[in-house]
Amino acid sequence: MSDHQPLVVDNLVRRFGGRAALDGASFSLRKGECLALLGPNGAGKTTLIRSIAGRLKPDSGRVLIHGQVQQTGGDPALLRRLGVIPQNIAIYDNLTARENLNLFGRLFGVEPADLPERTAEALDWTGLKDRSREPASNFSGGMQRRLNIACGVLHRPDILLLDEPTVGVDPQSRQRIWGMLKQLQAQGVSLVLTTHQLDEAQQICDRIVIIDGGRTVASGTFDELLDASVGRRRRVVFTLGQSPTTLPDGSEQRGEKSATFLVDDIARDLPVRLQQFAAAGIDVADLSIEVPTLQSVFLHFTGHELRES
Amino acid sequence: MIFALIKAQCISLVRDRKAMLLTFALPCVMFTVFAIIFGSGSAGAEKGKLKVIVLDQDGTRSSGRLVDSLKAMDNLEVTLMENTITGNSRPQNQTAATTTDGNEVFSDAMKQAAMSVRGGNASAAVILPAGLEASMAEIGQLDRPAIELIYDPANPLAEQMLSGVLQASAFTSSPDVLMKKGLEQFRTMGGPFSALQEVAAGAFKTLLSNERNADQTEAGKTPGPTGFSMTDGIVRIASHSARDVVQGDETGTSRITSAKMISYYAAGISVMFVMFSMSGAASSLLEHEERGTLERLLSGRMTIIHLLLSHWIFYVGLGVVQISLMFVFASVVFGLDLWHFEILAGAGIMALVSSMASAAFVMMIATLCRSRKQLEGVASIVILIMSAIGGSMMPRFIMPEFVVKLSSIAFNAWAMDGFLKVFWYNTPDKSIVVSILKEVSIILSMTSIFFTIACVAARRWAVR
Repeated sequence: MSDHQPLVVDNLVRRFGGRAALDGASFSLRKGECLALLGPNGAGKTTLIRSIAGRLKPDSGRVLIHGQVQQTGGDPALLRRLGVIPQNIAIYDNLTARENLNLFGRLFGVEPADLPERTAEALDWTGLKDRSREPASNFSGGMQRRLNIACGVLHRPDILLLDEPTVGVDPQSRQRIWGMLKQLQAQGVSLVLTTHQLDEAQQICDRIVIIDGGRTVASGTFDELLDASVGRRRRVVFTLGQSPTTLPDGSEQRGEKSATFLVDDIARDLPVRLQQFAAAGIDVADLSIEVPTLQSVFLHFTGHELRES
Repeated sequence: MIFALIKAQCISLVRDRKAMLLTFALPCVMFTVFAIIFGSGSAGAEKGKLKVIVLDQDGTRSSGRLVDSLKAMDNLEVTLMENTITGNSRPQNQTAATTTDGNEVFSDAMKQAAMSVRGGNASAAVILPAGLEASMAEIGQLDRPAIELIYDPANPLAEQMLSGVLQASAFTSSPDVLMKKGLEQFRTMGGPFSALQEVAAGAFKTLLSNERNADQTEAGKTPGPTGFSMTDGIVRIASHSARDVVQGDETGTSRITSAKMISYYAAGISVMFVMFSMSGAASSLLEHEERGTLERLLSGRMTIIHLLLSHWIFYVGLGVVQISLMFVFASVVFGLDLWHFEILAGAGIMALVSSMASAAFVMMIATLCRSRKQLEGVASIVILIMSAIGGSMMPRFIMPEFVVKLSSIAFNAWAMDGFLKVFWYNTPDKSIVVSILKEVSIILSMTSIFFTIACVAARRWAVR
């Protein structure tokens, strides 16, 4: 099991005072996959990451890394296989990119003999090679984030925990960081990524675990979550030429001059609906198709939008 | 791992020009400022004088001589107040602060003098009352007029010093008057003199008076016709600096020859500086926490002990460098006696253990604080208090006894004692290094206590 599931989180509970930050969170990470922990602020994502990293002792439950229970404080042997990229840009501003990489490489157990090669690789990977001798304080936010990630993977972990890796970063830098993560995944690293950005979870992750109120609410691929919640039906919104007196069966009125239908098959059902409107003498000025999104999935499972918390 | 973090801190420091300036220029600046303030006891430096206002209401030869005696003193700056007050509310020969209905009432002259002292124009005022000469040496007469001494309570030493000076000056300024009073007492108790005795007494009295005048015209330094000086008092006192009496060891190898007070104050300045310098260092631990680097560091193999050790070693090294720089600067600019093997060894050991204790102490405070803001407030107050009770700001021998005892819990007090033994209280018959063993042991013990508390308090950063 440990080979296929390098990380298993089993019913973790952790309270801070009277508040349960984790209240039975569970999930498993498959080898080589990228798993998103999706939830609003305060859902318990960071607490979960810290518990997996051995920085927080859970009140109950357990974390298994390659089949071994994670100890309080972290088993050094297991920690070597784990990489943690914090949400804060936790690098030294006064040190250059190269010096930061050397420092964190040493601190995370890279042998001195291996350090130059790995540092060079990391600089290439992050695109910071030409600026390797500049202090990190000179870098843009995106560059600092890339360096932040690189400092956490020098020791070549096979499980990487990333806490909001692209928060506060411009779209171009986000794409670049996603590219870096894809490369890591291609090298066999299993990724757990916390995010409250839907497109990030949907576009780069293989599976999504929805966390809310410290609990695992749902998990699966996007399609699986879709099937388990709102379904794959598309909502077609018709903008009408006039306010209808009656509407075709199966339609709902939305606003004075619009109506909506849920359709299973666009190609098959849309022409039928258009004919129905025509037969009723209702002009269709425009139409739009609403694709079910992760937002609607989240809303279905949690009862509130992702930004509400 | 520890070395990697120390190296990172060194690089960070070197890259920060402002921090570099503060780290290495500030010791020299601070030493200069305090040396100027406290080093006024150095040879050649002009000593500060106590400003005293004197009002002579007696106007006699004796009172004039008393005023001249005060003027002749090196450490007094005497200003004569004009005796313009008329219609004194007190009758002559009555003490200016006589109680009438049990309340203390002050004469107009006293009030005027007190106004000058209160206004900061002088540290003290002396009023020589009318009838002073007539009542001199009338020992036992309680209603005789008193010399009024009005002092500024902010300078308690002024009162004690002037009281002593006035008694001594009164005694030596008018030996003829004292003799006259003595003879009158003798006549009262022993009966009248014979004619020959009266002649002899009169001649001796004249001689004393002439001696006194001769002393005054020649600044009291050259003995008069009788071959002795009347300003010597009952006993002669010859003052000598201990550092002039014992200069080197018996082999003639001079170890310490400087009598400069800067050597005395170098200890206090260096200890106080290193404590303030370290307080800035302590905030770096909390900065780690705020930035998230602490969490990252502890997510790997690094433990909280590693982290604390790396910071502590770095700041100990920095403290040693700063103190060393300060002493070298003091040696070059202010003539601090430094370049003897034993002094270098002693100063080096004390610099090391002082830095160890300071670094551990401020780290302990940092781990007990929850934020940098909290640390700034707490550290400033604690370091100021410890500097004060430890003797960095004023010598402990002038502090109340309970404060002196309290200072034994302050590591900086022991550090000061150690430095003083290196730079000031050293004698040729004892090795400096051996003499500071006690202080070194106590400071090291305190260091281990501080570090232990820091480790315990820092557990909040470990697994929660």
